[in-house]
Amino acid sequence: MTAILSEYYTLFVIVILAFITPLIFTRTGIPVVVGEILLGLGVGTVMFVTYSLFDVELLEVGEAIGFLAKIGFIFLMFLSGLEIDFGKIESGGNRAVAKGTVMFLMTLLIALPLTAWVVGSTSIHFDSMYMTIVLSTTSVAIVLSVVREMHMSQTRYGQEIIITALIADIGAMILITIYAIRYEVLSTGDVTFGVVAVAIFLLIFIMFYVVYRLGSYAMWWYPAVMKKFFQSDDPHELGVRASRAIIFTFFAISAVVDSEALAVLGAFLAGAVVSLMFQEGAILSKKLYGIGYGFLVPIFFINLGITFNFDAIFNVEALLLIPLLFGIVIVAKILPAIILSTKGDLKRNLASGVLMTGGLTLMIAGGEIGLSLGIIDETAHAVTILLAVIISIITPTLFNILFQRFHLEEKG
Amino acid sequence: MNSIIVGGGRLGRQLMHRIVDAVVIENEDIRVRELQREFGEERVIKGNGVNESILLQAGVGEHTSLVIATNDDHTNYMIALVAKRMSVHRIIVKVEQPDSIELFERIGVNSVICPAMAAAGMINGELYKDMRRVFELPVMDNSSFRGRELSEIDLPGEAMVVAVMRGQNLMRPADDLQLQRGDHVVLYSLGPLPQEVERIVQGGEQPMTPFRNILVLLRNEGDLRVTLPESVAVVRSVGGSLILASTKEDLLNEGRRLAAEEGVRADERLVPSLEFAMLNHLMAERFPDVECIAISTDPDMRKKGFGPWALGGFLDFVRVPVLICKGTIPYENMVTLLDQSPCASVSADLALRMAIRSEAALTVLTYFEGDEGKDVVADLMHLARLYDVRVIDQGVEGNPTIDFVAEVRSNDHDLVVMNWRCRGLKRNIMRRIVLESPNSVLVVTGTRKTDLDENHYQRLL
Repeated sequence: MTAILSEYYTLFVIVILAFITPLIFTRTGIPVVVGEILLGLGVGTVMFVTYSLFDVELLEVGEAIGFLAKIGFIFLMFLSGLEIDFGKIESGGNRAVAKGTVMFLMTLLIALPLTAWVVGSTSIHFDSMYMTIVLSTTSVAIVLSVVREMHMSQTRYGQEIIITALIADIGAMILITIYAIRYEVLSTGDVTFGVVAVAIFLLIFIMFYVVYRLGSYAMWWYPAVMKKFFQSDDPHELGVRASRAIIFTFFAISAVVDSEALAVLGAFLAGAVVSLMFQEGAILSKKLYGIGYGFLVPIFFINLGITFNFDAIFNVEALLLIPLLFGIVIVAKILPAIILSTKGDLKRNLASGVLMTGGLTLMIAGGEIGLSLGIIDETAHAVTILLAVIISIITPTLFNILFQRFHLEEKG
Repeated sequence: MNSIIVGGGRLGRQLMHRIVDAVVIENEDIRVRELQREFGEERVIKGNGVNESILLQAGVGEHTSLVIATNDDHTNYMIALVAKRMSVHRIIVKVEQPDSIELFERIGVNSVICPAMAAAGMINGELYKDMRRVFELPVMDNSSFRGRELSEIDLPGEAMVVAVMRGQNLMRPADDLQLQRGDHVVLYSLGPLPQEVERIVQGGEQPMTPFRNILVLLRNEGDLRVTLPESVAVVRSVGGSLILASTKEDLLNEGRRLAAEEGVRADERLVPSLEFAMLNHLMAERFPDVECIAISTDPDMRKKGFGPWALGGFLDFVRVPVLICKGTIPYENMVTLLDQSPCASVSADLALRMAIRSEAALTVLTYFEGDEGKDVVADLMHLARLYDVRVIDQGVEGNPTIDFVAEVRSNDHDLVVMNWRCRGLKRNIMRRIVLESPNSVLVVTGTRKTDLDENHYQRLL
């Protein structure tokens, strides 16, 4: 069926929505990216209704939009990697890193049997182990913004929350990739694919190390040349070009085999290596955030809303699955926080457990990868997206309330 | 000026007895009733100290001395933040965990007191008090001893001058002996040396010298060729004295002889090991008063517990500046980086004092996002004009690490002043600067803030 309005108009709608979203959502406390999905869902609802009632496709969502959205997704993963502050992990010390790792592993252990139980009692198809990993993700961006807002980024408590979120982010990304490769090998029986994928998986990490060493080497031996990458008035935008080259080098290596998981990991590690080398280059970071969040990423998020599969979500099982998975996320994040608490910090850890539940970007990334590989079906994918949106809206607010309340209960 | 205490525990109660017009804020009902019985209702406010309205109700304002003494460091931190926002004149905080001290220092409270550490210090003092009856103090520029005969000097307390060291000569304390700058006065005291005596001999609350003594680690012959001459040159230009530490007695003897030849007095300490891991322990036990440590980065030493990671760990731990000697003396051109790190004022202060004393030019790279923290640069520039120091202010536009490396590697500077806690610099590059920089590096450690105020500097002079 031909759509009434061509892809140019779809792009026009996306760009207009991308423009008005920050204006609408900045003051609401809802993250702008969530706002983009919500507005995209709004447009998607209109399209769904017109299609259902009049059998008319309103906007064309073809290859061009799909391509831009995919680049947006890759850039989003790159920006997620860019959020990783290795300086914080290093300065946090072994204790904070160990605590973060244990919390992440405990989250997985608690979520796994609960998710397996849900899988057994529903007809919606999703792999329990994979969904467990997806549910264990945390949104570093949300955690960082809340912790900064509450002036806690310099406190030990705030540092521990940030480090735990960073570890959950890195750990989930790596586990999603490993599991996706394993699933593809087992489901297709293609051993060659498996060998190549594992080789590329390792190669991406070797690349990460090599690029980091090369960057550090260049910083030390050729600082005058490296300075050009960070000049604000550079008409050639060398820094942006170099960062893009790094992203697509990682992307190209991972694209040797057709694996979305490896591509996502590649983009994520490209961001992480740029962060590791040049975290303090505020001008470069601003330019990269500008390109990403100003153009490509909104296309991905709004497209996600517009192309949302409403058919898949409108059934009782799917609608029940959302609160069930939400409950699992809450329990799996809060229980470790409580178990690892001492008497004095129980309430604060409870609040931080709530904040850790918000895994927007990686949860959506996990959903996308899972759908492309068939690890989860359309319904589970739609549930994952809605769950990510709901969690991102609820948890920062809930954390604020809990933190204030617990704090006021403390002695003055 | 009024005094407010937040937290009516044991400490708060003791303070209420001592400060008769102080008001206490307490949240716990039972404790509030007890305090009201003991000190009267008008001196006790019930409420949470984190709440600004409660602080205002207690009378907190710009002229208040606020003592924050609850038993929870996090609560204390939140109260300190609120108090800072209210521009409280003086904030004194009690902390439970020694690790938390840095956090409070970062937000700029006036004093942070950890009862456990204070008690440890007092016990340590008690343990060693008999051994510390003989003291040696250098005569500084602004000392009231300078140019006067010993007979004219009255020392407070039970302290007396028993000898004077001039270069390598030990002189009897004759009445007509006129003291000169650089002399070391040897005093005998029946108890701990009163601070007033230190002030009279050395002059001012703190001398302008960045450090009153430098601990020189003599690990091999190379240190006698590089570390010791540079430390001697620093003492000769900026003041202070040396403490030589080594595992080998012959190195100590040679070190003392070389220092004496240059007219610099040096104490010696034979130690069991100088490995960084061991040094952490030794610093607390044997050298609690050291104000700077001078070391070299001899490649031969890396395999013996002095590698880059061991050095990094040591710099994480140590609380005094560490001078990494490369032999680039005298210091005529210095460079430092100032950014929004809370500790930037310490780098600025040390770099400026070194520049004043060494009569060196100072290049300052500044990296600020927004105006927050920029007052450090303004204060530094003002003081530099006052003390006739040539400062080149270079704003960093792109990446501070790269700009700083470019300056360090340009070979235009003799001394790099670098803050180990500086947020704008990559840790791996800082390690590289320490190990491979062609210039000497003064690594500023710790995170405390300092005062770059004109009046403060005048006092120091």
